[in-house]
Amino acid sequence: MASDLVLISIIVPIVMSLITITIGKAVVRKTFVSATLLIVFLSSLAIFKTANLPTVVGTSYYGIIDKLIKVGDYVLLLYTLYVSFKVKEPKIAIFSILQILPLAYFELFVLKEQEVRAFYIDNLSIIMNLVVSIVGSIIALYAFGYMDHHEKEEKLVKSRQSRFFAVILLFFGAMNGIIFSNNLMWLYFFWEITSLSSFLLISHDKTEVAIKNASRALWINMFGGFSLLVGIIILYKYTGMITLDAVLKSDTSYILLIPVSFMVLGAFTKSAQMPFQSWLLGAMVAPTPVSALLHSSTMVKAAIYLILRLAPTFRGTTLSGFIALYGAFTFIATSILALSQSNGKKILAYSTIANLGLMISSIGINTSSAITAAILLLIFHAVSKALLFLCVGTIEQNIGSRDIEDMKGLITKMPVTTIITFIGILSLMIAPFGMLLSKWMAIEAASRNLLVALLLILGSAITVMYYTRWIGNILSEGHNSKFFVEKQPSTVRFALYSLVTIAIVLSLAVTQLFNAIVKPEINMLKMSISVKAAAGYMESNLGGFSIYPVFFAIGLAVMLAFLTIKNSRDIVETKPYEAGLNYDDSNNGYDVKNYYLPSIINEEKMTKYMNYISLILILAIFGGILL
Amino acid sequence: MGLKEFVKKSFSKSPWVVHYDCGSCNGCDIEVLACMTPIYDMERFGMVNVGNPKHADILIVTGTVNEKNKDVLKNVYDMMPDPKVVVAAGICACSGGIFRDCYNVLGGIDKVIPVDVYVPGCPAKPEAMIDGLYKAAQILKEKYSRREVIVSAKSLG
Amino acid sequence: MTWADYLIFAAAVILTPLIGGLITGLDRKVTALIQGRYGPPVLQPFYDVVKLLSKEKMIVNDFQIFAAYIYLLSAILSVGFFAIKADLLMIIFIMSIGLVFYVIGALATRSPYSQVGAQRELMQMLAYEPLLIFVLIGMYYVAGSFNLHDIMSHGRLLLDLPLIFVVLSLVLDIKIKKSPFDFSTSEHAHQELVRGILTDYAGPYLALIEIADWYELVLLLAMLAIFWSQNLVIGALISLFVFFLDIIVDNISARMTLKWMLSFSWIVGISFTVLNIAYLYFSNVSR
Repeated sequence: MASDLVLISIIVPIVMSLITITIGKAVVRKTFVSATLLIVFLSSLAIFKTANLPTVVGTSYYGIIDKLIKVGDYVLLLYTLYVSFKVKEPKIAIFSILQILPLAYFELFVLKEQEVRAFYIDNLSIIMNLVVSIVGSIIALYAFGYMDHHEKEEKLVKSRQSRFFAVILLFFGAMNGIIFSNNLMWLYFFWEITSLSSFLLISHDKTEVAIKNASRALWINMFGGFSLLVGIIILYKYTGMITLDAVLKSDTSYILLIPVSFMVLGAFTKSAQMPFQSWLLGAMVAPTPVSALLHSSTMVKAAIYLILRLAPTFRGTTLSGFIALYGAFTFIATSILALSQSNGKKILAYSTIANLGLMISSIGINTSSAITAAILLLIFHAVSKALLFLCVGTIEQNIGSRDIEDMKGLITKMPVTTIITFIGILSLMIAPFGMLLSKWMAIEAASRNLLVALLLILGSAITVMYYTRWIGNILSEGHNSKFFVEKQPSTVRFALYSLVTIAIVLSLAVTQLFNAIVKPEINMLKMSISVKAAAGYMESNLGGFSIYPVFFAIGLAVMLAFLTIKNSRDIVETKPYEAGLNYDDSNNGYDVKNYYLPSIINEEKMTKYMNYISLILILAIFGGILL
Repeated sequence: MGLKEFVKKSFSKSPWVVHYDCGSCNGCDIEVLACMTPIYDMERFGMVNVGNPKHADILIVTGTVNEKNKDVLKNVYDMMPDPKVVVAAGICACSGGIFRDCYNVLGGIDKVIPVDVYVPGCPAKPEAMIDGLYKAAQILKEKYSRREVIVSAKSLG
Repeated sequence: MTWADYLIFAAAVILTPLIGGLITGLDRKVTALIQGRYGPPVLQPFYDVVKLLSKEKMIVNDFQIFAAYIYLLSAILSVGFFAIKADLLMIIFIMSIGLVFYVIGALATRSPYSQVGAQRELMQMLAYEPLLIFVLIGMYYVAGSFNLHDIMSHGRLLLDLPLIFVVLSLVLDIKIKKSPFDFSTSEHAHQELVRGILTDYAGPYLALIEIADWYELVLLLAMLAIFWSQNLVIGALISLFVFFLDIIVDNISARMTLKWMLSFSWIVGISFTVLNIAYLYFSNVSR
């Protein structure tokens, strides 16, 4: 039963994507895509409801799927080779050849054919699957309205949306494949598909910049795939294991740590950690739903998924400590870089990398509460960041800019979207929203490791700064401004409303969320449960956090403010103080910009040095195997 | 002492001052600043120079009003939340002084905003100014009491 | 939470502004005496706040009301949680909610003074917030927990964490915006930014912010006091002494630049924390 459902969630989107590419009519395509999304969504709910966790299930179609995947590997790699010649980027060719040769050698000479149980289902896969199918579907729905507008702006004669949505659906299938695969070779195949679909989607607009950035994304991810493949081959060669469940059952040993660190390195590239961050920054040229779907809420999370999966194998090792340090370093480095940015999407990109670094750092700390923090961060970050990307996309289509300085006075132009953006940003940076709760947990868990703790704390403080001033910009409003009524496509509006609702409800229900799906996962990892949650109170062995009083205080403030505005007739509205002179809103006589600290932070220079440091840290991770 | 009494008293005890130089020769301005020095120390009456009309209760103006700055003066006055008191410091602010016949001068500041206390002198002495401000604080308290009555009458119907 | 906890919570919430107002009054009196003036009465802050509360409600936009209320409520909440000895890191996080809104409220008006003030306040937050959490990390190394209850059971933190204590004193100085760190509001006669971040808050909303500041002042002083939690009277005296030192520094120093503040506070914060924790390792106090 469970295996069939999993199979549906993988196969259906892939098959549907092949059909979608042939559909030219907008209405038919939209119905078709929404139907597929519905199937993905329902199957994920069904897996969540019915599966007995944790479980490793086989499928009767194993043989044929395995053959297809084996053929698929080569097709995919040859296609990337073709792409490499088309976009004239030799690095892609290098890495695809570097993968084809070992792969062929491995499959022909080393790998002994045997049927293994196909799918590994536990709470972590369920969480990822729910994130992909719920947040992902909402983003895909948003893309309906967004892409129509986008193509109108681009003045395309022939719509290229069928290709766009086909790749999106293909991506859904591949994500589910990564999440559920037990066979590491399958995981590798789906991993490569997501890299390729990322390339196809970034280059969607076919502009020069888009193609350049897309090929950069492809070669960096191909490098990651190569590293993953090397890890798998070493693993099989020395231990004879090719499945996740076998790896997780085995004891920690040095032999295991080598392949694991290669796989973790692959994950670092996928999550755009420090020396690899350039591909994710470049990927921001893609249409915004792509940034939301692939580059913040799902695809980059596949890396976190992989590291989380492998976490038990390196628990308590020096390697783990270095991973924590590396993640923390990426967190603070990208936070500092984000501080110097005024481009909204770039801020979000940097902050995404930073948060992924935070998650990796928490996984590296590898105590029970740190793992809890990482899983919670994964969930909350996916929701909030997707929401923010969608908001920026909506804003950009309306005001024609993604610069936060241009968003001044946005509240009068698009009040609804602004309020949603406001809540979205809040959910990323202040207590008691889930992100901060998890950050609280991460910092407390990290406090044993002084260096990591210091980096995390400094990074969090910086995060608050660059988000606060963004909120300030969008909310700034002149005197007696008129509020416009916004018009948006219904899918866009639906996506924004539903994501903001999910963000708030999840934060309110974080204890229930924890008890329902995070705690069993920790149990399964055979860690002592150090975090308890009940009735709005999260408690670890280091401290406790009450959520409801804080929400109550915020609610009370909203209510008090509302009552004051509503009831009192003696409120006087006045103009902002401008030394007695008053400029009209239309004609600003002055221009106050945010502090971007250009004298301290020079993006280019800083990136260079930070890349060196992070390279050293990666070397340290590999060195950590020996210790 | 009841709460209402305390509120009233606090108006006379905590007058915050904003100083606006309306085109004075700086003679009176220096004297306004002298009020804050240790010798005169206007803070012992709770008077603070806040420099921001939105926080202030008392507007102390020096110099004559002219065509150019009358809007600014009006604007600063309008930005002060009620109850508020205006002190005209120096003879120029009171009546225009020796500049009253200039082509661009309107006269004293009472041509633009209502003035409660006039402090004459050229320049007005700090003692005189503090005296004026103290009187203004009493007026502030009175205005508050009157306003209370009006507000409560309004809320009754 | 038991009923006793609720009572303590309520008592702290009611008493704190009274204490905070008195301390602020003393501050003004002492400052005046240092400057050779007579100074306002000690009750002056109460007169000010009561007056502001009963002034006309003047706003630039509605968001300011919300910002002022949430600043006050989060300060109240953090003091209340402190009184019932909850998790200190949570208390800091709750405190920062209010600060964020306070800044946003100032950024949300288009006055250049208030915007520049808000940017400066952000820089100040950047300078002291991490330090505040460093202090907690230091306490954690001694007490093995972030819970105030466990931290206070230690008794004499000051002896183990002298450098961390200095860091917290620095935080106090930046937080209450005394010279050389009075960037965001430009207190008293320095008015190049009018009143900086406070410029567009007026009347009752200014009073709410003033009260919230009292709460936060008392919270920080209380954090200083728990460095001698064995006898809280001594602790209180220690924290008042630090406050007195801050007043003296305020009166004898000029304002520095933002960049200086940032580098100074981070360098002092990081190095003192690391040194102190290294000391703990070598003296085997760390649990």
